Amino acid sequence: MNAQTKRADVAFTVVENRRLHPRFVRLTLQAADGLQPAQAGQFVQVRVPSSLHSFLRVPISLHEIDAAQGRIALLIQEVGEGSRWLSSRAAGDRLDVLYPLGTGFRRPASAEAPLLLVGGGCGMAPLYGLLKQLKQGPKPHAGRIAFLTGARTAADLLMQDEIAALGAEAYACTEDGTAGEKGLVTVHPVLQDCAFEQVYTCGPTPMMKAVAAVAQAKRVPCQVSLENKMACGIGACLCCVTPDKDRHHRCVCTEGPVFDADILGW
Amino acid sequence: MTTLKLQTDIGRLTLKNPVMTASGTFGYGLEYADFCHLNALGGMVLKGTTLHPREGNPYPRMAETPAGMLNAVGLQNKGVKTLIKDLLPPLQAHLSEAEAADKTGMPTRILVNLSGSTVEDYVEAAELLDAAEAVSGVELNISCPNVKQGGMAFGTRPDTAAEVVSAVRKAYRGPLLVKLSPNVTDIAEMARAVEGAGADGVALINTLLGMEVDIEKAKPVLSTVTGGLSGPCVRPVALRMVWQVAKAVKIPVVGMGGIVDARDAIAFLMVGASAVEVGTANFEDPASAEKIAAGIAAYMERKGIADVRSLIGVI
Repeated sequence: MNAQTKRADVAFTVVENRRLHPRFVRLTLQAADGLQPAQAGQFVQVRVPSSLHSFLRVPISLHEIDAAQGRIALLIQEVGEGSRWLSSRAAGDRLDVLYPLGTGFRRPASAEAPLLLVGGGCGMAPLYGLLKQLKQGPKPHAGRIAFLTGARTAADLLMQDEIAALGAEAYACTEDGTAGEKGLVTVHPVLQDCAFEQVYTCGPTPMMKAVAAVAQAKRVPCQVSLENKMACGIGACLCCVTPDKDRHHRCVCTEGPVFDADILGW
Repeated sequence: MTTLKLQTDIGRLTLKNPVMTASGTFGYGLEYADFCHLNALGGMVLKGTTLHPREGNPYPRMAETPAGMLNAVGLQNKGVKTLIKDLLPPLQAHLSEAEAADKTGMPTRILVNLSGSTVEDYVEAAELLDAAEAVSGVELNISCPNVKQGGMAFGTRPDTAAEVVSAVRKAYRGPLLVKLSPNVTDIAEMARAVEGAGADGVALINTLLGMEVDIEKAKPVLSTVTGGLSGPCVRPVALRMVWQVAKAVKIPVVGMGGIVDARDAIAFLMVGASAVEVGTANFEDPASAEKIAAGIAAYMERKGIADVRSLIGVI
């Protein structure tokens, strides 16, 4: 389905900039018209002003998508010059965005399947989008959905109330034990037991690898969303590749960023 | 508005306008079709292609640098046979559909950037391209800095450059451009060597060899340590080299290196380029080549210049 979606260079207007955390803001953007449908896990390339250090667009995963209303939201983590500029956008500012790019999360075959979402850091953005599409899409998911978030400390846990409000079971792990289980997400019983038919994960690479390993050991399919560095975002430059099991390079920006962990040779 | 003549010639190859896209930055063309009117381009040079498919270098292959980027893709490509069989037909179909509505009545030219590890590989692939009707020309890549064998090794010595060019010349009858490496002491000497070996034109510059370090990890950013630098940061170097080469050879020159707008492109024409290629700018704005072609026309109109060829080599 993604392959047939026509991508476009869309002019958005910022309608809201809401700070969620000292390092994260949520930008809500409005297009003049309706948008092509997009899937959680797909991403955009946002143009930022050229500076001494940056020249390329900034790839950011879609956080919320309301295509019919022409509205999307992006979760911006302030890491570099481009994301700092983005996090300081205000209502009324214009953004030039290539939308929608890549291949997103695949829905489970059954609407009854119990699902586990495991996120950390800005990996929360596409997973929250997935949860929203699962719960509020045209065919709402009827099965159990558990959402496990990992963070350094309680104050770094994002969107916990919103996750619960969408009807998912919200679980947390913090490295300092200030909320949820103490330790990395892999210590959490909800992941350890892995009583699910599908796992979705997005976050730091070591976290995703660990989550995929647990899922694999339990023979539960796991989709991971990679964040490789890229230039074009549309499959032309081939900078963002990741090896699969046969050592073939897969293009993260078109074949991914979401992959079945099984096929990857990372 | 008077009718502007945007047509330009690279020897035997006539382009509807002087703007092409550079290999490695435009995939196999159709990747850009959602964002850019491909038929608005004079031509496109497709992804560096080798006789056999290549997986390229390990990730990380890219580093952002001031006003540009380093890449170390290492010629990942699907091989010339897949190119001819599976990738050219849909591109050609897309272009002919678009061309039906194009008032210039001229096609957008498809050129293939051809690379290899041995002279034999270059020749075998060139023979296949010779038989491919969709291909209007070959840009011989003897300047890729990211492969261990071949690539730039051919393009940094006049004798080896001449050897591969004359071998390919015998195998490929169509317009043959040779893409030159800037990583040489005397680029004019390299241009003269490939001219003598039968090239119809030269294209320059390929990327400049560079590197970047991640000081947190105390490691090079690229898996290959070094890579090719491109983007606006290389433009003055490229412009100087195009100017030097245009003075040194009689065959046409295609100029590239850091072009992001019509102003940059016109500067290359003025120092002697008969056409230009837009590369890294495609990553920042996928419609940049189309916008540059329109920008050249707007400049000509503003200056009262009827024929784009009158801009070529005025400096």
